[in-house]
Amino acid sequence: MMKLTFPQLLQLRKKVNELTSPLQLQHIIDNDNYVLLFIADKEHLVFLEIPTLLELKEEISYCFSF
Amino acid sequence: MKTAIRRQMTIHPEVMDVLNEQIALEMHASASYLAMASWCDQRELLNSKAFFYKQSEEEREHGMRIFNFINDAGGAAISPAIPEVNNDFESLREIYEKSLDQEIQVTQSIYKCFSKARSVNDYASEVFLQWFVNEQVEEEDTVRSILDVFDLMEGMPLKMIDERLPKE
Repeated sequence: MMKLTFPQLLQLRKKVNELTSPLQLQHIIDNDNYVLLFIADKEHLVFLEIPTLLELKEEISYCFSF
Repeated sequence: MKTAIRRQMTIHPEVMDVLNEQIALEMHASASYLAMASWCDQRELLNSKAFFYKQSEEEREHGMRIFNFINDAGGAAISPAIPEVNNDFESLREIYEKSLDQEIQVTQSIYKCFSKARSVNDYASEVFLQWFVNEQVEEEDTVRSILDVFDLMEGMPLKMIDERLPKE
């Protein structure tokens, strides 16, 4: 369980949105097929494969949706 | 927005994203005007250099205005990366033409932000952006008037044309 403050959540949203753009996804697939992502002001380093990354994107989008 | 998120931010996240893109565009415009000012400064085109230095300051102020608005509204303003700026120009007229193109690009982008704010019912952002819509009409008009002076004074020495141009 990871606790995030609101600015940290906004930062995570930004990073995940950038990483899941079609160009970036292609880049990840062409290389290691995973990303390492610092979260919560670099307190945590997480390992994310493409499906997990996309799931995370969806969950964050849901939080910010109406 | 979900209640917990809404308690943290007034601005709609999608509007925040397009406004962050707008900050990058304004800051790029500022850097671009600085390059134009330098070109004029090196050639002692006094009015034009003053005009472009002023424009550079103004664009930065616009960017900062949006920057502060995003943070004040509970969002996260992003300090942008500035892509490469063109420092290579052929003539003073070309500089003003590029300047008009740049203003048009900024206007279109402001309209995009405005439409986004409207489509997601982000009224505060829409009202905030109204100032920019009016400002862009003025900005474009100023540069168009300068290009008219170039047409009227075609064939005259560059220095003489520069003396007829506004400093701001």
